[in-house]
Amino acid sequence: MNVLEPGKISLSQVLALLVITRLVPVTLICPTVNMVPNPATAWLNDIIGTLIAIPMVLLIVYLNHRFPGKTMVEYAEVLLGPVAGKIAGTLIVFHFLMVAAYALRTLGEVLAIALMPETPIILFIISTAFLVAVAVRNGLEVIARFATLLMPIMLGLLLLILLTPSEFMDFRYLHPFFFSQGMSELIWPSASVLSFYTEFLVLGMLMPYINRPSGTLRFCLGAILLVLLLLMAQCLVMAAVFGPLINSLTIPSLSLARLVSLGMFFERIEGVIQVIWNFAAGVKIALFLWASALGVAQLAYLPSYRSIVYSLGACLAVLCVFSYQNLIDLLNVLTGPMIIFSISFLAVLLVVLYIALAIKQARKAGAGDV
Amino acid sequence: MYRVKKPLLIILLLTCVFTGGCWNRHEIQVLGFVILAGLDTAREPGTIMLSVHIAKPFAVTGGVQPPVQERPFWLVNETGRTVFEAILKLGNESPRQLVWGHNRFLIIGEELARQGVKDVIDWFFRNGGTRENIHILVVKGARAEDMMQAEFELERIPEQGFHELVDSTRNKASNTFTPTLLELGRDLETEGIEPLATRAELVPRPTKQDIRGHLADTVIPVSARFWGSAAFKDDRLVGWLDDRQTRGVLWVRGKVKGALLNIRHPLQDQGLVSLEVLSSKSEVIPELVDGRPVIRVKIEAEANFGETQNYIELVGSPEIWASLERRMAEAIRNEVKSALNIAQNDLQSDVFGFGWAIYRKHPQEWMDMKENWDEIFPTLEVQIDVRAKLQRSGMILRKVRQK
Repeated sequence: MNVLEPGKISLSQVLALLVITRLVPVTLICPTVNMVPNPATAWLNDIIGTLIAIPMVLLIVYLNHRFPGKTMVEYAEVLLGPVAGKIAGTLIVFHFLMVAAYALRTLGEVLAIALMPETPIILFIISTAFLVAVAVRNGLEVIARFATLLMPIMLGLLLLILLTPSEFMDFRYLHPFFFSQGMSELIWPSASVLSFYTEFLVLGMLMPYINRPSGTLRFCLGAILLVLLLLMAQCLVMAAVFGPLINSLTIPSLSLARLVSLGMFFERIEGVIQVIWNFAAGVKIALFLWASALGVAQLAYLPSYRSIVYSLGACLAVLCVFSYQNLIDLLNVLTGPMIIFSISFLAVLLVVLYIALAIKQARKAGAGDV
Repeated sequence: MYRVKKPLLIILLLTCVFTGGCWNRHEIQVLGFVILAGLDTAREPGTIMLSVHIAKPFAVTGGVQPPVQERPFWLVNETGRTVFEAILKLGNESPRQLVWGHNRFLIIGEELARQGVKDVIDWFFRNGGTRENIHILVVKGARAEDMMQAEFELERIPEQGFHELVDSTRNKASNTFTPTLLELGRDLETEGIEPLATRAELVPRPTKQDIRGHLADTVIPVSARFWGSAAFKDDRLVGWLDDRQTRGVLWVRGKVKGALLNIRHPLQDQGLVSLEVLSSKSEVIPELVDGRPVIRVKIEAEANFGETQNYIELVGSPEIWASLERRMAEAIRNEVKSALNIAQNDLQSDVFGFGWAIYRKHPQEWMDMKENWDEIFPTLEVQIDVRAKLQRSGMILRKVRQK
């Protein structure tokens, strides 16, 4: 068994981690919505993206079931041999670090846009990276427990901001269901939805530590369904509230939160909401930092991943600062190269692993016959 | 006991210094709260004049304290080539750092509104400190800075007076329209609809006036009221709608939440009946007849019997009730017609959103029609279909009779 990570997490904790992972790019900034030309069709992208994501997640879970107790980095080596396996493992780790880096950068940018415009963004990045590294050193269980604590609050606030701006909602903005530039309008926004689902690759690192691995698939699909419902609700509400302005907003969820007013009394709560979403982003960054630390430790046969967490956290901060020049650059990357990279990386990785598995099984079956 | 390592403890304490966001620390004593903002054209072409009310907290008294003989706000204006420039220049005059989060109104002078507002509203959307739900007032026949001189007898702070006017007019008379910046922005960008904004007017008060009811023997020379609406075409003000025309537009937009309709007595020539509208619904159904659009507007309204000047026997005479409902429907139709008349002939601006209705139902055809909409709209055929319902008659069934 694995000694690197002694923790065990439950299925509901996995669900919380996945839901938070997927919702962070929607609550902090929402690049998908910026790509939609007609607000009335935005929700369709969520459905298409999610439907394509489901087989990807099925494949991740299937592969992990074939290697119980092994993380993706470990079984990639078993399947692909020492050299190719190490390369695949390195790429997986790098993918995790990139996800953590863009999440961290988003957190910093949103804080700098909306709440503290005068504070240098590097401060948010360094302090968050440090806090996250401290959390990761305490192991997976800590992150998972915090996620289960945070998810209900996050969902509650999301529902609050989706329901309260009712006086601004005009559901006529949900018509017409029409593509002025043809169906090709759907490709990029749907790909954007899908690209954020590729982050569920982290399941490949999580699954060995689930106490009841047999139920993983059920909870993963549950998480996807929950996320889909929330994404669609958010899309519909934002289209009804902002109409054609929907693709002009930098932080659509925060703009929505700014409209919250309960009985003329409970107003201007977007600061609170932002803090909760920053916690959620923290959980996500912690999860991916944990995954990459574990991956590095397994690649290099280290006795413990704890010793490299701080250095990886520093790498994360550096990656986050130097990968993106500014907010527009971040959005450009998230709406273009990042989509292509993450989808093609995940697709190629999963297909290669699956073919390797199939060949191995065929060989085994052949050997058995003889 | 869990022992904390000393170096770690020191590092943790040190990080506290950096995590508070101290760059953005704001102490309330050094802040100046902008509570009302107005925009005008300035003398130099291409420049904008910004006027603001900044709250004077020390002059605001409440509760049992005696009123201070000092205005609780400071009116100051500044010009700039952009709004932001004017705002920053204000900082050279205001000893306190300006905070915009409490501003709930943007007042726009007629001249600037006629030139177009799209260039001046960007900052209000972009800046994180302001709100999207601030209300847009357009001043009829005056400048925003004149409107900033207006005060209310019942409120020490004009901004509070404006705020209460919005609340009190929104759901009762529907003879004015108080959209927010968000709604204005939405209407600007939506296909086939032109924005409406609040029409604010100066109400001069005679200087020699009975001072009973005043705490101090000063008289407010000018006050303000909301009445009707300002009609835009694209982002430029093109004309003014009066109360009935505004309500005519609102019937079609489905925004009438309350209104008062005067109709003639069903049997006699003299005497009016006032009906209090409680709710309304509307549906705009566009049809294409040989490629030409025809609009059918279905309005449903419910009202209570509010007042009558002549005797009406309500109980036992369903035909009178039905006749009242017919007259109510006719009154609503007339209001829509008068709004249509001014919008199609004088303003040539589709404030109803008929084009939007076509876009929603026939987007492909709208794309072809869009370019010519300015020619199509003035001659557009609109059928108005009103279903009016009277619900209750108040505390008495019949009028008090003279013997």
